[in-house]
Parts: sequence; C-alpha cells; structure tokens
Amino acid sequence: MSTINMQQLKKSYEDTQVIHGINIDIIDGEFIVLVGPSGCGKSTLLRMVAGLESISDGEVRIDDVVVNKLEPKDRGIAMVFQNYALYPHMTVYENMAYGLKLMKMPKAEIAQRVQEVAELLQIEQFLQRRPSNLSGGQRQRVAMGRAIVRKPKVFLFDEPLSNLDAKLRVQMRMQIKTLQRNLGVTTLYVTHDQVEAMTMADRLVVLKDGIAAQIGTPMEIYDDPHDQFVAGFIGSPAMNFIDCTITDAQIDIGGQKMPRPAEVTQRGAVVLGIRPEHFANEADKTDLQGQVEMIEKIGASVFLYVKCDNVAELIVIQREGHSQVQIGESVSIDPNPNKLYFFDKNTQQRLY
Amino acid sequence: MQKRVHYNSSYLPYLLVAPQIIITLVFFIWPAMQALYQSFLLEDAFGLSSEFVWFDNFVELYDNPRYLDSFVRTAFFSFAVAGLSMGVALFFAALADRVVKGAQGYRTLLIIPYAVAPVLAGTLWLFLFNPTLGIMTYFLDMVGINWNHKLDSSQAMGLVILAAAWKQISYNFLFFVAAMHSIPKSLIEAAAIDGAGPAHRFRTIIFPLISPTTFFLLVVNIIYAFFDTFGIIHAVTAGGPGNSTEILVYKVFNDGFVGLDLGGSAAQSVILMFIVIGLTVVQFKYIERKVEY
Repeated sequence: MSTINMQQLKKSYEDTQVIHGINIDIIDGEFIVLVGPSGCGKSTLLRMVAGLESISDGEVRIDDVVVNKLEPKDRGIAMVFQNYALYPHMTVYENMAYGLKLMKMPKAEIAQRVQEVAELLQIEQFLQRRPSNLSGGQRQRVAMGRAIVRKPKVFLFDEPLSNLDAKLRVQMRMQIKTLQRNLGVTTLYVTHDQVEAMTMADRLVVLKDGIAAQIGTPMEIYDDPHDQFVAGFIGSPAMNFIDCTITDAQIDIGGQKMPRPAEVTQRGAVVLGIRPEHFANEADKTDLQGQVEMIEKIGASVFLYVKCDNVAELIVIQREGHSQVQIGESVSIDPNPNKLYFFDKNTQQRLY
Repeated sequence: MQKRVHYNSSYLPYLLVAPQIIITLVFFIWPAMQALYQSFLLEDAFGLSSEFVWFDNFVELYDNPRYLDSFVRTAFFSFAVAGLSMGVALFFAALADRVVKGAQGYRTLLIIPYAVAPVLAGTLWLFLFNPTLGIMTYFLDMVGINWNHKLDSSQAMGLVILAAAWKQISYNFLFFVAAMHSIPKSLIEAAAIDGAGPAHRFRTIIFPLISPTTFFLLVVNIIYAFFDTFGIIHAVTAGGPGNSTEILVYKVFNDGFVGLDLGGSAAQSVILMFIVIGLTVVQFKYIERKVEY
C-alpha cells in the first residue's frame, strides 16, 4: 500500500530552475505517466523521487514519510533505466539477486524469489547467461525482473521502451501494464511517447518546462485540454491550430466563413483547434474549401493535408481508409461543431 | 561499402608505411639483431678481438648466482612499483571520479609528474631523502627513524620503489579515470538503488568493470619497472649499496659499460628482450577482451 505525494517540488541547478513547483498526489496502485517533450524535466522529476537528484525545495512523501533526505535504497523504490543498467559482469541471476543479497536475505529465499519472478517474466532459461548474450527485449525483461524481485513500494520507469523496436515496444507496453495491474504496485513512468502515455496511464501528467501543464486521465486530457500545448501534444496526428477571427456573425478563417457556435462570446483573433478525426467523412455542406496537397494512407484511414487560402498551416483531415480523394482535388472541410477548441492567441490558454 | 581503402597503384601503400618501417628497422630491429649477435661473442674489453662462443654467455649467466639474485630482485621491484603506483592511482581516481567542480584542474596537476624525466624524478627524491640534508630524513629522524639509504639496503630499495612508483602514478591515474568514466552512470545508480554503499559499489561494480584496464596497466607498469627505471636507479643509488638495488636493466649497463663484459651484457639484454616480447604478447592477447555495457 503506497502513496506518493509531491508538494511544491522544485529543482535548480545553480542559477537555472528546471522544476517549478510541482504538486501531484498519487494513490496506491496507480499507474502515473509523466509525459512531455525532451527537456521538460520529466526525467529529473523521476530521479528526484528516486533520490538520484537532490530536491531543491518542496517535499516528496512516500507512504506519508518525507523522503527528501533518504538515500535511494531507503525509499523502497525500484527503477528501470532506459539503457537497462544491467551489471555486465554478472549473470541474469546475479543481477536479480544483487539487491537481495544486500538485504542480507538467506540464500534459499533469494533463489526462490528470483525463480518466481523469472517464471513470471519468462526468463528462467536465461538465468545463467550474461546480459551481453541477450536481445534487447530480453534485457528489458531482466531489468524489470531486477526491479520486481525486490518487492518495492514504488516502481520507477525512465523511458524503458525507447531502445526497443516498434513491434516489441507495443508488446512490452501491454506486458508492463498487465504486470503492474497484477502486482498492484504504485508506478511512475516517464516517456516522451504520447501513445505510450495514453495507452498505459491511469492518470497522465503532461509536463512543460518544469511545470505540470495538466494532470488527468488520458481521456480527460484528450477531451478537455487546458491549453494549446497539451492539446497539441496529446493526440496523433496532432490537433490542427488555425488562426481565425471571430466576428458577431461567424468565424472568419482566412476569408472563408464558418458559423459561430452559440457559446463562443469572445470576439477578435483566436486560435481554433480541431483534431484531424473530428471532420465529417464526406463533407459537402460548408463553404470552407481547401485543396489537397498531400495524402498519407495508413490503411484504416487516410490523412489529407489540405491547403486553405490565407491559412499558413496545412490542415490535417482524417478520412476513411478507402477514400478516393486525389492530390490537387478541392475538398470541403466540415468540422464537428461540438468538437471545436478555442485558444487565446497570446496566453495559449483554452477559451472554450 | 568496403571498409578498407584500396589503392590502384601498387607502390603508394608501401610508400605510406615506409617511414614507420624504416624507423622500426633502424632503431629497433637492427639494434636488437646486433645485441643478439653480440650475445654469442666473447669480446675483449677494447673490442680488438672477438670469438664466437655460441651459448656460453647464457650458460654463464645461468650459473651466476649474482645474476639470479638480480632476477628475483627485479621481480620484487617491479611488482612493488606496479602495486604501489596502481594502488595509489586507483585510490586517486576513485576520489576524482566523484569530483565535478574543477575536475580538469586537479587532473592536470596530477599528470605533471609524468612529464618529469626519470633522472630528475630520482634526483628530486634523492634530495628529499638525502642522509645528511634531506628534509624527509630530518622528519624521519624526529620520529626516531635513522634514514640512510646509502648504507641500509632495504631503505635504498624502498626509496627507488617510491621514486619509480611516484612517477608512474599519473599515467595509471589517467587510465583509471578514463575507465571509470566509461562506466555508464546508470549502473552506479542502479547499484545505489539496490542498496550498495560507495565502498560496496566500488568493490562489486566498478572494480570488476575496469579490470581490463587494470590488467593492461599491470603489464605496462611491469614493463616500465623493468626498463624505464634505469635513470631513477642510476641517480638515486647507482645500484647500491652493495648490489641491493641492481635490477636487471641496471646490471646490463653495469656489466657492459662499467665491467666491459660486452658479450655477457648483450646476453642479458637479449633475455630482457624476450621478457618484454612475452609481456607484450600477453597484453595484446588480452587487451581485446573488452567489457560490453
């Protein structure tokens, strides 16, 4: 039973502050994913919880014990590193037993625990091998095994899948998620991959420049992003952002007009956000027109990159997979009026 | 893509390696052959007559207890030098590995002794431990130790070991620091999370992972102690008192250029040559064994 609380957590290196006061309360058994672009401080935050980075200000509590000054080994955590950090001169068995030996556990019990975890992860046949004789996926599993075998209160994952190929990554994603659910261990997971974040998390923390831009379940964040950054970061392909002007009667997009939703009371220049999947499949009823500049077929669906007059960015529109639209063709653009997002041009905050 | 470069003309590659081959031939192979040839000769001191005596020079060495003594002494000397200099360097490197601020500065300072010529290094230590003037002698006297390496053979041996080891610490330090740097930081962090303290981490993670470097340095240091310490010994003790610091390479010089037994001296240098060839082979054979992270 473990909870993690971060309160006004801050980190500075000499003059530069990298984490600007983060508050997160994690309940027992929760799978929390820290996601954000590179340099947003997500790894630093994880390492502060692990005790590998000092905490400049604020506090971290694990099970209501302040761990700020505790050594990593006294925090009851286990970590899986991006490069796995397996001890190259030890066998898989020795790798997994290393921490247990330091706990002064009797030999027979160590052997039993390692065996159990090895079976769980299907690595029994590799126990006597060195890490250099294992494939990437196998090493990944050994790294997980080394973490699990210690029965920690908290799992910490630092981009554990980014060194694997795409297919294996999807597989391991499921395995880690299932394993975590079965073991019920509170987990902090860092990734820059928003698909990984969406699929694995109970709750997501979207980080930007050392600030938690939004915390919530994946669907909350997808449906209701607080600002333009979160809206653009979550969802693939990314949300379209179109500069437009709202007048009394309608929305003006580069000279073309669209009806104004009733609840939008703001006037003037705003940023309109529309997800590629929120366009009608075969549109013919709006005045909004554009020319198809590029087509991406991924099988189940087709992405049209559409150029509209006086709009800088190409608008990405998702269509059903067998759509016969050709490059150069003129298409109507028909966004779902209930799925429009409006952002302030300057603050990038969500308006509607 | 072929990785090797292929030349169209046949003479260009030979031309390109020619300088290296010429240097090797003139400065290494030729003198070595000369020594080999000379080791089969019995020559008078003025070089006016010489006689081909086959392996007589070697047999004579084998029967000479003074030579065998020198052999044992050299082994002791080189292992002591290698052990001392590597031990100290490893200790320094382990400390330096933890330093972040100003690491470059410390490292540069630690490298300086390597740039000191052997004779100068020897002279430096000679002054420090001079039986009548040396500052260290003075301090030792204060704690009741009577230092006179000109009379006491074990003190003499201690002093040359100290001087020789001191000079080599920088070199070993550099290699140890580099080796420790190449260990991924996450390995150390993983061990820290697993509950290993700094000393335990050093013993179970760092030391095993730098073992290829340690082995390489062991060979290099032994070769150094065998051959490059001539200047230090010459300056500090000149092989004395008695023959107590006369290691093999010093004996080559003593017998050849002082005693003018050129054949015997050449035979000794041939033996040394085979020792160094042996060490180098061992080193090349194992140096390829690298750790994968």
